[in-house]
Amino acid sequence: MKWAIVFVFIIFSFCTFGQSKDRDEKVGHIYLALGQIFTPASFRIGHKFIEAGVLNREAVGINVLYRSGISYVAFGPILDLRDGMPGLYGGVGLIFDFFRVFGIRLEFNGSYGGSAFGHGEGLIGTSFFY
Amino acid sequence: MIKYLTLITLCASSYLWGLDFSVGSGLHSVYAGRAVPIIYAGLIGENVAITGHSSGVESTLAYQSTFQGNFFIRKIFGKLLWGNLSGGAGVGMVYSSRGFRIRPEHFATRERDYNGGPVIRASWNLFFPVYLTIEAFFGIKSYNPLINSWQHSTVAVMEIRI
Repeated sequence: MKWAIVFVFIIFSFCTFGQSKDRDEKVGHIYLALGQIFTPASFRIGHKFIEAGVLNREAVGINVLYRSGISYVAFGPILDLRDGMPGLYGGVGLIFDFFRVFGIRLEFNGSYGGSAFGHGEGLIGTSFFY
Repeated sequence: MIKYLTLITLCASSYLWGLDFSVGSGLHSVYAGRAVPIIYAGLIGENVAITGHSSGVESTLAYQSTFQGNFFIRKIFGKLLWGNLSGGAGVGMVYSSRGFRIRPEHFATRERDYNGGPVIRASWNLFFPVYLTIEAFFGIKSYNPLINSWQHSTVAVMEIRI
């Protein structure tokens, strides 16, 4: 399992930026979110449907974000902050856009480090499109 | 015998209701602790999914068993590289039993608890029958969710769908 996660991490790292699908998104966005006990937990910079940054309190990495209406799924490779091991991240959430300038975004996510640390977090945040 | 009957029922259901039968194995981080291996099974439909898994460890001094069942509303959001990426949200229930003794000759103390709450999953089709899935459970057992603090447990699974 550990090596499967490492394999996926390597594949993602090289391939996610090569995606060329045209999404109904503005070019970029910045996402700031509060996690446990409403303290800052996530900071991401996004380009179209790819985001990178601190995904939750225990993970940094990149993820793809596919929308369908107001719901979305996020998936990608991470580095676990507790021991630096590669891992996986998955999240599901809702986005409410306001005038395509900013949006309220609610997300539940889980991350899993290759050396077996798991973390789940509920995020409440704001996206700013630019 | 019950295990075989359950397995046959699950397999039959894939033909009866058009659901994919999923089996897999992975790692489970129970309540954010270190991970233990799991056995995973599920019925995956186009719009719904029912999954469950069990994990456990035992030594001469301590043991822990955890069983979890989930129901998801799911959707395929698109194609990531060569495989479909799906997401789902729903509700789950966890039953956990654990025991501990200070010395091997002592009786073990035993604790049980139940927990329920929202659960999410993100699943990517790695190649034809094989899916890589992350499931995260957020337990509600106190007032902590009011301050966005959940009893979370996360599962990473390599599943095969039949």
